[in-house]
Amino acid sequence: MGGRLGELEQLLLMALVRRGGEASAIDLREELEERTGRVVLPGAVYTVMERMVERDFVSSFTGEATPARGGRRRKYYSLEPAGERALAHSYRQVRRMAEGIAARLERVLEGT
Amino acid sequence: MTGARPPRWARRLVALLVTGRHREFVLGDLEEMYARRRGRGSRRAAVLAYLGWGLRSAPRAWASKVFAGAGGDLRAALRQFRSNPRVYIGGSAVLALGLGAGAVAWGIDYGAFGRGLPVSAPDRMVAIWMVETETRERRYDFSPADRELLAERVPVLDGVGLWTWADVTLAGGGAAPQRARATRASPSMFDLLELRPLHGRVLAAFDAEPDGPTAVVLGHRFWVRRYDADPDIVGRALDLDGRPAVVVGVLAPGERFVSEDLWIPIRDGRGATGRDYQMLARLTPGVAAEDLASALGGFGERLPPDGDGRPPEVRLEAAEWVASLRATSGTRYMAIVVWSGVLLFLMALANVANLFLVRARARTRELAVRRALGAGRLRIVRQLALEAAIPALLGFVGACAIAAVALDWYQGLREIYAGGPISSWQAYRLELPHVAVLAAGALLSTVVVSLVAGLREFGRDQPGTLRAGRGTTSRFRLGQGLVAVEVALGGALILLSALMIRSAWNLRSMDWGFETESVLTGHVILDDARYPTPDDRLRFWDAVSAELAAIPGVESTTLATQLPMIRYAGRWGAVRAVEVDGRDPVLDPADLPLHYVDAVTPTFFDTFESPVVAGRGFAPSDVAGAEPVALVNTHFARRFFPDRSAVGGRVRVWRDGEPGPWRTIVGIAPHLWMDTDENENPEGVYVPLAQTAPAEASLAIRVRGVPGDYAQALRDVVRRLDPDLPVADVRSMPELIRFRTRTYRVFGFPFIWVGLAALVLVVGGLYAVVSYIASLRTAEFGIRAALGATLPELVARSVLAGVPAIAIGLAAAIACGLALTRGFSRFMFEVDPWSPAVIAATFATLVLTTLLASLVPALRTGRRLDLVRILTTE
Repeated sequence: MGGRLGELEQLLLMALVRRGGEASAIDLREELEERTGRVVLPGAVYTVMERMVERDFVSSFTGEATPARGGRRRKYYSLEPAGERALAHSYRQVRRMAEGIAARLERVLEGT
Repeated sequence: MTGARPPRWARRLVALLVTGRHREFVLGDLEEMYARRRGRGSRRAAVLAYLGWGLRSAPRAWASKVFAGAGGDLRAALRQFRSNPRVYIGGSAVLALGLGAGAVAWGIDYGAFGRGLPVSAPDRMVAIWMVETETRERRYDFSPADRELLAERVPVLDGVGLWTWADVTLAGGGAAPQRARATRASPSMFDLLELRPLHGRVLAAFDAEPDGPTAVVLGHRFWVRRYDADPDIVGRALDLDGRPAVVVGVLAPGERFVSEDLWIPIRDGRGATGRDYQMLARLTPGVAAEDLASALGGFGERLPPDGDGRPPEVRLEAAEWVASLRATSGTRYMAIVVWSGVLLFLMALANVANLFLVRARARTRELAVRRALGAGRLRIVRQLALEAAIPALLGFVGACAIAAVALDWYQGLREIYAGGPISSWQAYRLELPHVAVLAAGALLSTVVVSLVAGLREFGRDQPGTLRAGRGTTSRFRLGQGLVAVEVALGGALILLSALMIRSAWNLRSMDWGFETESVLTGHVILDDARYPTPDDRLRFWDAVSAELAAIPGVESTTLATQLPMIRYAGRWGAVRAVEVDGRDPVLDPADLPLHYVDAVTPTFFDTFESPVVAGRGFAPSDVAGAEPVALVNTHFARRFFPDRSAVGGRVRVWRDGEPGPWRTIVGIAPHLWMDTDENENPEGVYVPLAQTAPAEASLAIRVRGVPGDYAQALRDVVRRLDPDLPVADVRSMPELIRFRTRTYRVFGFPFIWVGLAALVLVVGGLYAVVSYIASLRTAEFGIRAALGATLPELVARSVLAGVPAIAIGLAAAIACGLALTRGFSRFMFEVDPWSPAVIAATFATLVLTTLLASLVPALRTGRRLDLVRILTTE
C-alpha cells in the first residue's frame, strides 16, 4: 500500500504531530534536532515533505515574506488524515517488531 | 541578537550554491538558522556554520555529475604535476604573487575604511559638517552651542559629540614634563565611542564646567609609559599647560579614538560659539542616513552666527563615519592601491592562463585522442580544471602567507609614523573576508584557465588535428594577445614604480640648500599662565640662547618660530597677512595675501649655514624698541619687487585683524623651504624674534659630531631654566625631515614593491611562454638548422615572433601608466610624472627585460638541438 513510510518521513511526521499538526520546515528541523540530535539540512526536509505532499499525507502553504529571512517566504506543512493514519500504522509496526527486544536494545544503548 | 543577518558576501556565496525547486525557502531557512545560531554564540562561529550549511545544501545531483570519476582525473592531474613540476610551481608562484598583491591592496583599503568604529552599531555612527550652501566648498566645524542645539532639536540623533586634537604640556604627577597628544572632547564622546575606564571614570557632563581643575582621562598606553601603570594615579593633581588639572580616570587597554595620549573636556562654557570642533553623532536605531539629511535640512540658518569668517548661508551635511573619512582623505590614492592590486591579479591570471594554454597546446594530440575515444566536453574541461586547480590551491596558500606578512608590515609602518597606535577604526591584518576573496580569486583562476584552454580545444577541428599530428607552426594568437595585455598592465605599474624609485632617490639625495646633518632641534611652548608678557618670554628665550651657546661642542645656536622644512601648527602659526608698502591700497585686511612669517634670532642663517643673499641679516641691536626691521625671502622679493631691490622697502604683518608696525626690509633671505616640501616657491618674511616675543619657538644648535649626543644637554638647559617646561621633538634635522616627508614613504614606497612584483610577473610570464613555445619548435628549428640556418637566425626568428605583442603592450603600458600617475603627485617627491628620463628608463627596462626573457629560452633551445634525433623521429 501507499502508506509505507521511510525513517526520515516517520520522524518528520512525528515532529509535525508534536508541533500541533502544523509547522514550518525550519521548526520541524529544529524539533528533530532537539529530540534526536539528528542534524538535517533544510533542503532534505523539503525534499521529504514534498514527497509526502504528493502522497497527500501533508498539505503545504506559504506564509508572508519576512525581513528575518531576507525578504523570503516561509513554507508551512499541515498534517492530513492520511498522513496521520500512515504514521499510526508505521508506529504500530515498529512497536510490534520491538516487542520482547526493547529491554535488550536499551541495555545495548546503556552499555555504549 | 534576533534580526542579525549573515554578512553580505556570505549571503551571496550561499545564494550561488543553493539551487533547485525549494531555493527560496532553503535560503530563508538558512538565514533564520544563522540568526538563531548568532543568538547563541559569536559572529564568526555563526558565519562558519552558515557557510557550512550552504555548502552542504548544494544539490547532490549536480555535484555527483561533476565529481563522478573525478578520482581518476585527479590522479591524472597529479601525474601531470609530477612530470612538469616547473610549470606548476612557476604557475603557483605567479598566482601567489598576483593574488597576494590583490589581497594586500584590498587589505589596505579595508583596513582604512572597511571596519567602521569599534562600537556595537558602527553603521549608525555619522559625521556631520557644515558647507557653504551655494558652493558646497570647505567644511566648517561646530561650537558647543551648535552641539547643544542639534542634540535637543534633531530627534533622529541618539547622541552628539564634539572633538578636536590638541597638543598639551603636561607636568607634575611624579613624572618629567612632557608634550602630549590630547583629544579635547565633549563628555558625550565617551558614550558614543563606548569607551570604558580601567580605573576611575570617564569624563562626565560636569567636567565641561569652566571652574576648577581640568579633568583628565589617561589613555592606557600613555598611563603605562608615563606613570608606570601606577593604579593610584586617579585623583592626582597635574599641571596642564600651566593650569591645574586632575586625573579622573584611566581607559581600559586598547580603548581609544584617534591615537591620543589623554582626553580633556571642552570647557568653553555653555553657549560658547567658537567653531573649533568636529562632530560625531549616532543615529537613533532604525533611522537611515537619508532621514538624517532631511532632518538636518534648513538647520544651517538656525545655528547662531559667529565672527570666524563663516559665510551666513550654510547647510549641514552628514555621512556615515567611514564614508565621510573616505570622502575627505585619500579616495584617489586608495582607488589606485586597489586597482594596482587588481592589475597585478589580472597579470598573474594572464600569466597562468598563458602557461596552461601552451601546455594544452603541447597536449593537443593527447586531448584529441581522448575525445576520439569518447571523453565528453565536461570530462575534458574537468581534467583541465583539475590541472589548473593545483597551482590555484598552492597559489592560494602562498597568497595568504604573502598577504599576512605584508599587511603586518604595513600596520607596523603606520604605527611607526603615527608614533603609537593608529586610529581605532583602522587595522591592517589578514581576516576571514580577505581569505574568502583569495579563495574566490583562486577559484576564478581555475575557471578562467580551464575555460580558456578548454574553449580553444573545442574550437579545433578534431579529425584535422589527429591527421596533422603535432601542429606546432600555426600562429599563437591568443597567447600573443595575453602577452600584450600582460606587458601593458605590468608596464603601467612599472612606470608608477619607477616614478616612486625616482621619488625615493630624490628624497635621499636632496640638497635642501641648508645645513641639516649637524643640527639638533627641540620645540618649546611657553604657557600664558607663567609667561604672560612679552618681557617674560624674551627673558626666557635670551637665557635659553645663552645657555645653549655655552654647551661645549655647540658651534651655533638659534631660535625660530619655524624651522626650514618644518611647520608647526602651533599657536603662533606660520601664516600671516602681509602688506607691502606702496602696493595698491588695501581696503579690507581680509583681502591681504597670506605669507609665511618666521620670527628668528640673528644667528638663524649662520646656524643653517645659509647666508643672506643681499643686504644684511638681523643684528643683536634689532630688539624691541629699535627700528622695526624684516628680511624677505628671494621668492617674496621677486614677486613684490620685480624691478627694484627689496632692500629699503617696507612691509607690515597683520595679526588678528590688527596691523603691526611698518618694518624696513634690510636684507634678502635665501630660500629655506618655509612651506616645507609642499611648496617650492614660498613667499615669506623673517622678523627678529626679539621684536615679536612669540610664545613658542624651536631651538636649533649646530654641533661638532653627532647631533643626538647633545640631546640630553639641550633638555638639561631647559630644565635648569624651568623644571616644568618640556622640550618636544628633540630630534636631529635629518630625522625631522624624514618625519616631515613620511607621506612619500608610507603611501608612495609600497608602490616600488608593486612595480617589482609586476616586473617579476612580466618577465616570468614571458620567459615561461617563450621557452615553452621554443621547446615546441625544437623540431622546426632542427629542420631549419639541417637546411643551413645559423643559430642567430633561428634565435632571431623565435624572438621576432613576439615583437608585435610586446610593442603593442609597451605602447599601451606608457599610456596606462601616465593615466595611473595622474593625481598621484602628492605621493611623489620632486618628480614630474611626464619626466622623459623616467619614461625612457621604464621603456628601456621593459624592452630589455622582455627581449632577454624571449632571448634566453630561444638561445637555450637553439644550443641544445640534437639534429640526428630530430631528423630521425620527425
